[in-house]
Amino acid sequence: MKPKYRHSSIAHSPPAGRSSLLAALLCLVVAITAGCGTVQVELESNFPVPLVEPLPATVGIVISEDLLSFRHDEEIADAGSYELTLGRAPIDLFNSLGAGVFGSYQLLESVPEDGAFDGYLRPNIQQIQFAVPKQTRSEYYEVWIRFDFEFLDEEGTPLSNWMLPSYGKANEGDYGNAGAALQAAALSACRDAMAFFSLNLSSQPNAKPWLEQTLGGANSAAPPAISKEETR
Amino acid sequence: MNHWLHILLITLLLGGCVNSTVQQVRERETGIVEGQSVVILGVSNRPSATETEVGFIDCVAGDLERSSSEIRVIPVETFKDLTFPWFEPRTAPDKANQLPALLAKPRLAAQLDKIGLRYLVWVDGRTRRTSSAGSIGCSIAPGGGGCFGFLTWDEDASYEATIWDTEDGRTAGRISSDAEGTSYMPALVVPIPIIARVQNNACKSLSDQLQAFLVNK
Repeated sequence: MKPKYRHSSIAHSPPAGRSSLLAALLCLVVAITAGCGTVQVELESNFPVPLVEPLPATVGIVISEDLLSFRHDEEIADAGSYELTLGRAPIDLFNSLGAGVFGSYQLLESVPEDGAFDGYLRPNIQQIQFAVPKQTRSEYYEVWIRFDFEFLDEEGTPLSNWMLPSYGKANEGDYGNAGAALQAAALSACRDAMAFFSLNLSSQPNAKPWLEQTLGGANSAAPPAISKEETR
Repeated sequence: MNHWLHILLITLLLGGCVNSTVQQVRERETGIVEGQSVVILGVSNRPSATETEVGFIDCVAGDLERSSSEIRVIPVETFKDLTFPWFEPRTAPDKANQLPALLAKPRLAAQLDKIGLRYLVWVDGRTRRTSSAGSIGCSIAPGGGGCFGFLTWDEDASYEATIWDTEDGRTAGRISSDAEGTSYMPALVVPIPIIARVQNNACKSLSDQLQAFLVNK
């Protein structure tokens, strides 16, 4: 049986110079069209556990479906379209944050009815914004994330909120492509929020009523407030 | 033999010229013993618009590690994770006089003791393209293609390393490394880049000086 496809003779194959030119053109077309697609970024990282004195409280951290499925789409003129999803990042982030900041914690899908916790923390993302080097005429991909931390008492009643803006940036020269740089900037913004939260929770006025309740009114048991001057 | 000589000559010819200067200010005696470590950090404190290139920090850390068996360098990302949240852009100390208060934090102090950190080296600076001239035009046609023209550009690398001693919580000294050079790219069908390795030169100078400064022998 004859093979279905076969070169009849070597003379019919294109000359070597022309084939490399065609290959070069093909590469050029692929490179140009690659820049036209959507840049998809999914956050993935193992966040470090904050090295702070933990608050003596048992806290339930409620990770809502809204947070897990958060998605940010943006189209930037002359810079393409971007799609940012959080993946497992909220679980990793709040596992690490809980392990460092609270004496005992557990990630929950919703507030349970048994009242097994001193209080609850329900984080959410209110807004994400980002800028690409083309927009700012800089070398940086920048990401701003506005976290909304909702404090709930032991029965799950909301007490107060803490809006925490965070910022991260990544130099485009340090990363191979837009997706990697944007992911680095977004992870940097997440770390920024974690750092600020863990160092300033006990001095945050919006968290005071919740701290008083979760610590059984003995706010003096909380670690001393860390001032801006002390940390910078 | 001739083959290697040709490669050496081509490499020398294709490298642009770089002028570099290193200056050092010593404020106190230094030294490092077995078990102690060093970390090289890029300055990225807010609200600074720029930050030191990650590649440059890795270059200095790698060169320093290779240059001396006495110096153990902790990778910057590992260090930031181990000491989180104290060395993030919004929380890191920007003056040596803030170091004693930071070292008084029990958990952080215990961690730094565990990793044997002796010196924190903050590197500030950047490599910038200061000027460029010329142009190259390329064309592709069915019969072939090629480029023609001439490009030249100047780069300036300017970095300063500030060394903090965690034993006494004070600045031990400063080292500055500056390098400048001109790169060329003539193109006659094929572009031939003759690159001045300005940043690499500044990195090598800084790490060599840093090694001598820390070991102090």
